[in-house]
Amino acid sequence: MSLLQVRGLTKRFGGLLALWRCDLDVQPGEVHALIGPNGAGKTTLVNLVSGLLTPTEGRVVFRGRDITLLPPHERALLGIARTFQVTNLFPQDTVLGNLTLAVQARTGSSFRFWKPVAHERELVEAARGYARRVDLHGRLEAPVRALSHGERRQVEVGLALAGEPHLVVLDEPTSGMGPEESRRVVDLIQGLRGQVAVLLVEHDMDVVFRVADRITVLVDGRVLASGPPEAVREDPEVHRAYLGHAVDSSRTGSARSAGRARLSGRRPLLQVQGLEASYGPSQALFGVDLQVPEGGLVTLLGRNGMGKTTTLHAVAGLVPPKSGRVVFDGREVQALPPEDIARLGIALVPEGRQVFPNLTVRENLVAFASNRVGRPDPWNLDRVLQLFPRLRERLDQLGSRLSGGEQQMLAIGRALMTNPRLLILDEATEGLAPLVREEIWKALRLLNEAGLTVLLVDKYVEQLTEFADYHYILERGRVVWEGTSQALRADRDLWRTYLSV
Amino acid sequence: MRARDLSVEQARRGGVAPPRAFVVWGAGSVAGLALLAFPALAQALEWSYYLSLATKALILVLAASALNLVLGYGGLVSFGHATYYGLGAYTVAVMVREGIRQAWLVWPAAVAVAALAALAIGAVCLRTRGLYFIMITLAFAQMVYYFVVSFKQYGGQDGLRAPRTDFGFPLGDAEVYYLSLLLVAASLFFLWRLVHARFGRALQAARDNEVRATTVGFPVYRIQLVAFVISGALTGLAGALMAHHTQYVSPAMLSWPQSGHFMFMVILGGVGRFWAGLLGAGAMVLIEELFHSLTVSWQLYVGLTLLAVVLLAPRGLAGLVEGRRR
Repeated sequence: MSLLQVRGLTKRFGGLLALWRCDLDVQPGEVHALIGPNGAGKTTLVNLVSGLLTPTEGRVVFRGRDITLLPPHERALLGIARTFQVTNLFPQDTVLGNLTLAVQARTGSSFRFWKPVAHERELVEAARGYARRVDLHGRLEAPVRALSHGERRQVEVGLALAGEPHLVVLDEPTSGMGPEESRRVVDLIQGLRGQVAVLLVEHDMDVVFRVADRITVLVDGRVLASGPPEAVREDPEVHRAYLGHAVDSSRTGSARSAGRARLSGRRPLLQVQGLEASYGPSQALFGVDLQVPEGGLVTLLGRNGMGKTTTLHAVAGLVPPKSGRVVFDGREVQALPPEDIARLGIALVPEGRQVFPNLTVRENLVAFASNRVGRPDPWNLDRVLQLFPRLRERLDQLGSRLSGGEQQMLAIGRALMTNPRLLILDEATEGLAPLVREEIWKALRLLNEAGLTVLLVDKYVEQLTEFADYHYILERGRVVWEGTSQALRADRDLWRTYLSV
Repeated sequence: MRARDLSVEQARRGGVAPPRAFVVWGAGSVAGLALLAFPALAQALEWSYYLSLATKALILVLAASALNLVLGYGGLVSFGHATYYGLGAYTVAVMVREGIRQAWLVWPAAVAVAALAALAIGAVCLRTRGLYFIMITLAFAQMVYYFVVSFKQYGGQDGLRAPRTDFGFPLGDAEVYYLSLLLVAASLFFLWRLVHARFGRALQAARDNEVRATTVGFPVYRIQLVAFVISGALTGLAGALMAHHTQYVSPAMLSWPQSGHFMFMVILGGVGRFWAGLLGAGAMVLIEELFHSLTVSWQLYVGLTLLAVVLLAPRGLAGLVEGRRR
């Protein structure tokens, strides 16, 4: 019998359908990889398995027991341990302290009031053992906030192992790691095979195909395919979902230079040069260069965690760049606070839309209306409602009551009401149904044709090449390719190397 | 500081300065002896006022240390601890009024009433977090306050006289002082063991990273609830002591300014540091006393002093002491 059985699992967040009737089986001792594009619902599924979320519908059965409604700490004691995508430790404590806590949690009896932990030798000894297993026995007394990013990830894995689990859920264990550190994690996972079942969420396909016994592919909250690696690799469905429909390869030619010609007459509205940024000790951007010409529609592509959002946030002033320049309309803005950058005419439609949940649609739209750049035919409530007629019907509803697609329309409308000169969208169609995606793209195309400059992050490359002028591909914090839509359509190797999940 | 460490190290090697453990134990025993001898000294010098002040300080040390368990070690900002303090005190006064004067009945009852109140209130409040937790603890405290005020037969707004309970021997001011000293010392020792045992570690883990704590298997809600009940019980004990000390209880003991006063003692002492209650309550009593003797508008100066401490020593007095030691 399967160790973990997931049956018909569905999860809604307000208007957003994150998972839809998912089935998943993990056998004892196997390494089971869960892959899918950004926003496919992988982390939601993992959170439902570890109990941080409860499903809207469906069941989770672990070791023959229905755990659908069990709180997370009881699941941990049943033998489900996990790591987090973003390192999540006890920051005040040392490596040994963190591991001791995990051992203590597993051995129960947290209601011992008298005996000092420092005197509980078996606890500390066990913790040392786990430190050795994740290669940290030399760093026992180091506070975790002083560790490198890779070392912290090792502590994450150590915390999971200290639970002596039957199932370890690893949510992107190699994210933000260099190749050397990644290899160590792969070795660690391979060492677990046969002893512990591993549910692995991972974007690095090299890692996945090296360690996985089975792969489940999640797209748009649905299970697209599940099976051994070879079968999944050959599955035409999987190919279509990631790589889009067959591409007419005759359209190559000198497409790239043609694209350059279309844009060469325009002056750049946004220039980014040598942009570097980090989050604490982990560097996210290593010198990004890109240009957005006035009136252009430019996309930023790449897999999850490659620096797309960081680049957008650095442009908008939300992440202070470590070095490099951001020039907007001839003016250096990298040192300005975000509100000043916004006033100059850069509007960001953030990932997850961030609509104000307690304001109505109308209030969301009019709250920040302005026309600082002095546009002769400014965007106002009427024009936004013309662009998105659906919002007119919802004018007096609260932002939180909208569907995902409506929220995205509202977020774009809200950005337009500030009359920006550059519209930046992060994951413009994440978590939306195909038809709604088409609607959003249509609106963006209309806006661009009306002269608005757009910088866009999205993951449906096939459709983007139909209306975008120019593309940049990011890989581990650097631009590794740039070119026109025609050039991108032509180069299928590129898609496989940098864009497939 | 490094230079200082070096010189201490050299001195120690040369046998000039005693080792630190010796200093700590030495200072501790001197302070302990002084505390034990204080009533005799006070009597000899006719300092009955200062004996009363010392008793009050000891009791507040207990209340502040109890609050520090949830506020500092649990990261749970309870803005309603006056409830348990007041309930402990009122239990004593009401039982005595009703003719039950045996200490062995009244004291456990006072602690039990406070603990039960903390259990009921904590069970609800701990389902919320952050600002909501602060507000809902305050709301419960206000409910209890108005509930008690509405009992006209127990004094209502005016409060209630609370003759001391019967221990089988006469209980004078010196005896109340010794009783406070004993209970405070025992409570602090208990808290010391508690925060260094598995329970205290789990409580701090839940404070530092709740999601992580729950995913490694800690029953966070139950741990926090038990801490809340222990804290409430000890605060109730402080209330019972205070009723014996002043022989009078009033609704002010249940009021939100009283809750805020406890919180301020903890903040002054250093949130989450073990000696926060001792240092904070002690310093608060001294500061208040100092300005009280100097000027009528003493509260203004107390406020300014607290402001200065918070600005200059954000980690509280305990933080200052620890920083110096490092």
